[in-house]
Amino acid sequence: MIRLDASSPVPPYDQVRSQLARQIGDGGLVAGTRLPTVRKLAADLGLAVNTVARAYRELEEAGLVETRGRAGTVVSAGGQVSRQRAQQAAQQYAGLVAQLGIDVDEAVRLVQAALAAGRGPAADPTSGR
Amino acid sequence: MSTSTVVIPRTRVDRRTAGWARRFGLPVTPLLVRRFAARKRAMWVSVPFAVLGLALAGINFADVITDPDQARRGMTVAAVICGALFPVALVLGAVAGLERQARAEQRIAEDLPDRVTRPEPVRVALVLGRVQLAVFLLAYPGMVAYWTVVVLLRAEDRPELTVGWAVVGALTLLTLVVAVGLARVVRRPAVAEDGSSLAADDELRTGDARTLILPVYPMLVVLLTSTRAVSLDLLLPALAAMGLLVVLAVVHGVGMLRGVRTRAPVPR
Repeated sequence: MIRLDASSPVPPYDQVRSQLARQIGDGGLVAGTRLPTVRKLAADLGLAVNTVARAYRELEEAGLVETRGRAGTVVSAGGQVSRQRAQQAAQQYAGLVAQLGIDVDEAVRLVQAALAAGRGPAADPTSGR
Repeated sequence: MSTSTVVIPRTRVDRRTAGWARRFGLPVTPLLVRRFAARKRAMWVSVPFAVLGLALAGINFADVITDPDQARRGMTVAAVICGALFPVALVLGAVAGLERQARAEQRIAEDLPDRVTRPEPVRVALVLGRVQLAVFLLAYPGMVAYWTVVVLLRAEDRPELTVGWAVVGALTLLTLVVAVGLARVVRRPAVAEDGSSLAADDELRTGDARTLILPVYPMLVVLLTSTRAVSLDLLLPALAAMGLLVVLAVVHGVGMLRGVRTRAPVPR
């Protein structure tokens, strides 16, 4: 389900983008699933067509969806592959941390600092900002 | 010490809305009440169409009564058109009513602070369910195909051929109007503010689509146009098949067929 909160400070295109990205990420929308047309989604949520088109464009740039001509916009396999790679990297990091004898809190703080330093359009392709 | 009483105005719920919500296990919300009120008002749009259709059927009937020789001469193209206009007017009225209803509900949707929808496209098979989709295909395009074959194989002279094609034309027109109406119902924007109102929207959409495709309309066209144009050995099996489809559509629609989903599952 996609919910649009009119009172939220988050721009509507970002609400649509982030909810779709989350559902693709957690497997709610599996690879190959067709998304509604831009017009239909815009009409359902009471948005301008350009707003939904922007959300779709950013999802496509992030590799989460792909446009297949007349078949419309479908969820690409990239979303799930990215998640698997992140999980593998996390497991490797957990193993390394254990070997080095670093405690859990310290390890989590290091990750948070790394994420904060690397946050930006290049490092977080799904953020769209 | 003085006390004051604040009366919170309660939303009036009519019995139809409450009964519908109970049937589908959904809560009666102010949104649902507003939707049903808008639907009730929109229904009046179809009344003039029904009156026009009835008038045409009356004229046709009076013509047959006042001219007994007409039955012997066989059916004319004008009589076929006049006969077919009654069910076509009924369907046009239903489509016009649904169109007015959709516009009224869109205005309601524009007032909602939150809007929700599904991230998947809505398909005809999902809205109607497989059984009802099969009923639609058999009763409408199926019947057009059947009468086309009948005309091609059985029409013996030019007048018979002309009347036969007029019947096929009437059925095709009806099929087109119903198909356009069905597409409009399936594609209309969702009117929902949360999960339960989205579920209600699904059920209302399914109900509207099923009412529109009821096989009674093509059956009426066949009854009113073909009785004197086609021999009984071809007419009776077609009418029997359509009667069965009507029964199946109604029985399945009210959920009396156990073990058969009345509607395709929609991802939540």
